[in-house]
Amino acid sequence: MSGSPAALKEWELRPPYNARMVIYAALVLALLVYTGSRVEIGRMLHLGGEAAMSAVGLREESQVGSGLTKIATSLFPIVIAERTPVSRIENFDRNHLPWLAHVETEAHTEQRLNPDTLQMEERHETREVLVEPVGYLMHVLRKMLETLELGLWGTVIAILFSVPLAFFSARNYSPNRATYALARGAVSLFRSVPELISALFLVLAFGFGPIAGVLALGIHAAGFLGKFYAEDIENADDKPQEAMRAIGANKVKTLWTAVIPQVIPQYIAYTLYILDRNVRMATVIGIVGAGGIGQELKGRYDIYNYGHVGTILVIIFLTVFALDQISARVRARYV
Amino acid sequence: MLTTDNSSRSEAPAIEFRDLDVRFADGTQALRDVRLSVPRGQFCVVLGPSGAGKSTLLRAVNGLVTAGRGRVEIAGTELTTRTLRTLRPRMAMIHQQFNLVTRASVAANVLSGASPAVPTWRVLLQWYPKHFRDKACELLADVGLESKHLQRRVSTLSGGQQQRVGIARAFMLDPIVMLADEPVASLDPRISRETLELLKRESQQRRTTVLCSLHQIDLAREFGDRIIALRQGVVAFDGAPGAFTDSVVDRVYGTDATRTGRLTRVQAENAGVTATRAVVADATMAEPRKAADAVTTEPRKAADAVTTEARTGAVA
Repeated sequence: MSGSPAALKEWELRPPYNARMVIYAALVLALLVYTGSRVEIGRMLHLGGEAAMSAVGLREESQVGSGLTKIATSLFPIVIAERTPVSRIENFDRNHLPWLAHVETEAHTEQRLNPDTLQMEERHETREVLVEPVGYLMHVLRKMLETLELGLWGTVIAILFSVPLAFFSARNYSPNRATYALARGAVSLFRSVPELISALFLVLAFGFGPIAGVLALGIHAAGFLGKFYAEDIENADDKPQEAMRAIGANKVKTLWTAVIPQVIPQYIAYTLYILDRNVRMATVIGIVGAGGIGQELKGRYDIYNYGHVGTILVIIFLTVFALDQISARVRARYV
Repeated sequence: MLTTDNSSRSEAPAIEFRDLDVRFADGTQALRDVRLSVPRGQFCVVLGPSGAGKSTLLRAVNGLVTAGRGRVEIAGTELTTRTLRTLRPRMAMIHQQFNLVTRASVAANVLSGASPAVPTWRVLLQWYPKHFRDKACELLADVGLESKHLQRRVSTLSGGQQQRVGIARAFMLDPIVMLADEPVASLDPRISRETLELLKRESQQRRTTVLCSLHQIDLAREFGDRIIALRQGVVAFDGAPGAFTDSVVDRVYGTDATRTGRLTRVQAENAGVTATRAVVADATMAEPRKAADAVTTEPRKAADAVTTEARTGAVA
């Protein structure tokens, strides 16, 4: 209180921002405004506002609102049952029906050209169909299991690839500059190719099916894991490593005894994230024919079976949600 | 003094510094003209103010810093990049910050001390040979830990217990040279004494040569067979603890020894003085070279006389 003004000046605490920061903030804002106009953020807000107003009754209709309604009505109710005409089933055995299934007779109307009169005629037929009440659901679940397997093996392959990659692309463990540059390059390359694109090419190489999917997922994730594993190795506490160097342990031994125990929690977290991501990507990757539930999704979408698409989307959502819960629990225990 | 024929090679001093100079990349001279000979089984305490080069002296022994000029010999073998691989497993180190893997178990940490002598695949599988596993248990019992601690994470132990684990790890390969770099700087006085007692007992049992840097003069006098004091990279005193009188302390630690001594100890405890370089730079800036030389050359002559006595006396 009674200190001289000069002494107070020396002890001044300024606010943590200054004119330069205000200028930076203005520049960032300008950048956001410019790029925002290019990605039509304004139109998005406009349409979104319209939809919100029509929803509360302030507007007659809105493009977005009617679009969303159309999607909802076509996806729901979701299709759970499977109906197959008996005539299309080979070696149909009436005495040994599948689980829960029964045979129904349904009336069937068909437009047909009569070759004699050259007139379109309506023909009424009855036909027998095999109804499996949860048949389609089971089919989707089987596909989902296949997708989970894709994701799991994509992760296994990613780990197998990324462990040596991480060793060679960690600056302090790579044997020399060349191996470091090479490994870093490989990691970047793997990461730069999206799964969907590499799957497209791998399908050409390995044919339709899960091989292409597993490899596409594995290679991309190997790039991701390699980078993150390596960065953790580089940032690990050096003190235990120095202790190992001091007694002449080689690099592999030092890494294994003094670094890996330190980074294990992060490694588990990354690997769980990759598993989660791979399962989500595995649902998409089937679109280009690389196996899994995506193939089914694409097929149904292309023949306008939106009810079936609805079932698939619900199952994907439930799976991802369950996976989230499980990985959160594993993380809480080990990390 | 230096015997070259092979029959008496084992009688070569455990550590021999021959005109050792160490200069860091930034140009700081950390050690200058260090000429010392440490016989087998001696408990040698290294003293000196922060930044005097204590850590550097220790780290020059196992090659964590490399000599600019001069050389270091371990049991008659010169330390070079080629001999480093075989010499390092014969030396062990105890660190101020313990340098343990705190997330790993006590057992894993102690066993890691044997890793240089174990094939890599065994280390990868964490499957150490039976005799090493038995040895780890034996050592842990020796340093006063209980069997219930074996699988416990190091992070759950107290500082004193952690340093006991560090000591157990260091003795895994029966080293001929033990380098203790301020082993008690982060421990309280009672635990410090206990830890040094333990270190001394274990090294006497095995006839291990110990080079131990300390900040506490009283502990140095109590535990050292011999005291080596450094000041600005130069040996300022070398002799028996009895000769390390208060006037020598004044010369080593500066004009106001007690104050600087306490100051540096507090600093060491607060900041965990590992960044020796920065401190060395500070010291040289604060005091011009010439003044430092004048201080260090004087006690040197007196100390040399005592050293020869200490050498002959301590071995017997």
